Amino acid sequence: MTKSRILWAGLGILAFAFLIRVYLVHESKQAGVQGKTRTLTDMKGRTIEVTDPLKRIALLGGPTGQIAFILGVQDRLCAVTNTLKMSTLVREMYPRIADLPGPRTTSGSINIEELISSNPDIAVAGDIDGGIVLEKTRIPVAILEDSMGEGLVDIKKEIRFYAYVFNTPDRAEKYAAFLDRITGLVRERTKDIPENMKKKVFQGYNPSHLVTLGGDTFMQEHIELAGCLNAAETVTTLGTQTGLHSGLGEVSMEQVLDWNPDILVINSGNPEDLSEDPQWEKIKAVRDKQIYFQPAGIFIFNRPTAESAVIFPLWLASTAYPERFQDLCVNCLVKEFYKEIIGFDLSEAQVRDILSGVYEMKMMKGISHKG
Amino acid sequence: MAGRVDIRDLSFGYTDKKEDSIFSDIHFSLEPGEVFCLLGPNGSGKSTLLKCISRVLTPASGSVAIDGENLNAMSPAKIAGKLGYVPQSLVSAFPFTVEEIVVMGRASRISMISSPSKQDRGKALESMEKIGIGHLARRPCNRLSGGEWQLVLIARALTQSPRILLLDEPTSHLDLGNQVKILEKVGSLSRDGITIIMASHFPDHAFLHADQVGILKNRSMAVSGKPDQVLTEEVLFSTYGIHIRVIEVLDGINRKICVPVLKKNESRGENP
Amino acid sequence: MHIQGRSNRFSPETWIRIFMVVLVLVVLASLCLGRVTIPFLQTLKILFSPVLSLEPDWSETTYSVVMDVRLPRILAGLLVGAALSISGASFQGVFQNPLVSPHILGVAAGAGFGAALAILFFDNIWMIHLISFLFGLASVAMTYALSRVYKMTPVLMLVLSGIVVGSLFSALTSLLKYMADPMNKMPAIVFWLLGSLNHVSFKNLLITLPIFLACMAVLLLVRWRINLLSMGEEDARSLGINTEALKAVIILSATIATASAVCISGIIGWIGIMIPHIGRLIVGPDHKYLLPISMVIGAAYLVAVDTIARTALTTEIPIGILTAVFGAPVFAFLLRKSQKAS
Repeated sequence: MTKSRILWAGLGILAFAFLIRVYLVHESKQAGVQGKTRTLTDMKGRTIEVTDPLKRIALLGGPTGQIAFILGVQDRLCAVTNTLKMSTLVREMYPRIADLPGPRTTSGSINIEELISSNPDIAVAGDIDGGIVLEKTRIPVAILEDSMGEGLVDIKKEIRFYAYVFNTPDRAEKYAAFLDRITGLVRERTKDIPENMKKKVFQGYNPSHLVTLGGDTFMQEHIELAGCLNAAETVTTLGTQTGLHSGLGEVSMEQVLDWNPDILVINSGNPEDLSEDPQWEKIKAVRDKQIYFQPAGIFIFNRPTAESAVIFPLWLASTAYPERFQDLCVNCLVKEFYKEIIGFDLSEAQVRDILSGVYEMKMMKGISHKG
Repeated sequence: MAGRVDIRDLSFGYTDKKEDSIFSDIHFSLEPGEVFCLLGPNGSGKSTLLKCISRVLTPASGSVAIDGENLNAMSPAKIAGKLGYVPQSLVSAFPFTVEEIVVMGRASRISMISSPSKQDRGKALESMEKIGIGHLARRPCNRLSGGEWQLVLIARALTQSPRILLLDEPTSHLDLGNQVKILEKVGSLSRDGITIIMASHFPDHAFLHADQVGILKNRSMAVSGKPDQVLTEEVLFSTYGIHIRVIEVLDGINRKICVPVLKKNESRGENP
Repeated sequence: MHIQGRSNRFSPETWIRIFMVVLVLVVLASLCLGRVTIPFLQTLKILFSPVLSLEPDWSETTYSVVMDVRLPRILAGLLVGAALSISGASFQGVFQNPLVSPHILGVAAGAGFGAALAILFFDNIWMIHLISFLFGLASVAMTYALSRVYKMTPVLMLVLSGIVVGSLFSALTSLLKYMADPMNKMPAIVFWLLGSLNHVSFKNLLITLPIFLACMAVLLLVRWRINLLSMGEEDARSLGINTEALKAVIILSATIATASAVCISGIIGWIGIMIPHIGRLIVGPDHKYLLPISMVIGAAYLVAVDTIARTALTTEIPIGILTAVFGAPVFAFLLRKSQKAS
């Protein structure tokens, strides 16, 4: 009996020693990037060392994928978020996306093996995803700071940060200039609308049409810019409710009836159902047939993305106050944006589909509900 | 002398209140190898008394001494090395084999971080042979008859190599054949020098091989002493509340027996 | 002679050896398999490269996949699988009931609450481990205290108290889930409820390894005595066991092992209840053999299931789902079989 116990104890010590050795090797291998290198500081102030130039880029996060197109580094992508792969518009305009691995599905869900196998020189990710990649791999990680409460200023800051990482500052400035131009245009045409004439907009997402973005989110700025009022302005939805992406919150039918919005923006179902629904038919937006599908392009617009920052206020303003935009070819501006900034030469039909929410409906199910 | 038992002033209650006392001031002594038969009506506390003696329960007051050593001062393992307790019934949650159950008796002689050695298993087999159940060694315990199970438990108690054996109504649930087998084993163990305290429902058993008998009633040992002297018809009546005739049977059997008398006519054809 | 209800083909010792070989094979297979299949010989070379100097004929990424991703996970699977199985077997013996799981005293609910609390207020993985561990122990301590009757802790009272304490912590955890938090912490909380081996790092494994080994060693040392406890308190006492002390040692060791498992991998169910059952069908209920074989089978099972969890689909399948999906039908089959046998 004792002899076998000694044997077991010995085996245990051997195994433990082996593991310590593996761990030490693991730790020592963390540092060490080959060839010409460059030191970066990410948005959290961490310094990382990466190869120069960055040839293989992994972008993890729903809103991040489009940045590659804005900055012209899409051919250097080696791993993306799954939703980018599923985006109909991207598949139409950049077929290569289908061949790229999509290891990240939602925040916190990363197939590490796939990510490692794609051999990135760098991974750009938010807090949670970044933490996972840091812990489990040796890939250099640049952590992004983003939140559902950020404004246009923050979007520009983010794009500039990406440009700094990928060394494409000109493209960033091109985007910033375009954003300022559109923002200025919209503001100019809506600035003199008296307060009591402003249209009240309610975003009613999900099949219940009761999930919305509150006054503390990025959507507030978008709506105000368009010269409208956010029906859910008084509601704070930053934070997390069970089952919803952070920043989204569910309100009650009572509140919507109380607000009685002029314009209703939905992302599922159809306007006919609402006009037949006894609860909804009394709402002004439903009576006036001012129900619209949320536009969507590369990605959905109920996240603070570079794309939505340009397109959404323009769309909302021209939809709410068509008389103020009659002389402007809104579709032309949209086409220009996608051609000059993103690099997509869209057809008239595609532009219409973006603005009328066709891509929203084609987007993979589950994006709008969760994250 | 190995196996002398001295019990003094033993009392027990589930709480400290007087009304809840099960028994008090229990008093008796046994020489090594003697057999003590414990009688009493249902609910008189026979099982509880046995559990107190074996220290499965802790008595409220009093002492139990084996060969002069007080059990109060002994560890459970030491007690189990001297005293074996065979419960009235036992249900095992798992289907251990008879062998696995009998070897449990060696626990008091195995260190806390060991398991039974070849020697221990040998002793277990010995006990099984002695009791005559060697052929049941690999039978799962959930496939034993009531009688076989009782024998297994006795074999297990024997594996403790005890000087004293406590048996709680070992013959209830058994048919006549098995009852007699058990009683014969009890007799032979006593002849081997093991002191035995056996609780029983049948006053007859006292006449079989008991050297002493005690009746537990109304929270105390109403009577105790030699069966021939102590077990009279009056005593039996006051214990069980029915008429019991004590008859000496000769003709080769040479012992007394107890015959309960029924209230109605004994047999059909006789005059009342 | 044939013993009904258990395997008669080999002796228990032989069975244990057989399953140890199975375990080694499962581990090696798991190192090779994943979203990317790596050739066996290369995997072996990579595995031993830290201690032998070998010419690397593999890429950095392949090394990373084997040593940074798979090895810690496999190690975690071994420890958690073994710990939950041996704890389950021990609890079943002590509580004299083969339907008891290691989570019976409320340890899982307590650890889950501690983890949710830590996720909400701290961002640090160490705090999450520590606080969930402490709450796991605290919940068992509460159960124990609640069940004390006349200086004893009767088995029935322990079970009932465990239900009360477990429900309390479950309810508190639900409350925490409704509190708004500034960051998107939903995936973290979901992980706790469904279990995952994805969140273990080498560092925290090496730190928890001695704890696991110590607890399992204690249980292995006293394993034969569990046979006696399983016959009942009074019976064990009459055979010379200090039941309160032994119960305390076993419950404490099994609880620490379970709490450690929960705090590194979340709540993984069905292992602690099913594996000992399978063990009994192979070697019988003698805990001398049951505990070792449960450990080995449990470790192999969890590593095998985790390999499927990370390989089958592009997304990770939470392992608690798989153990339930496989476990429930197997368990049902076992129950039917044992019913027919008796």
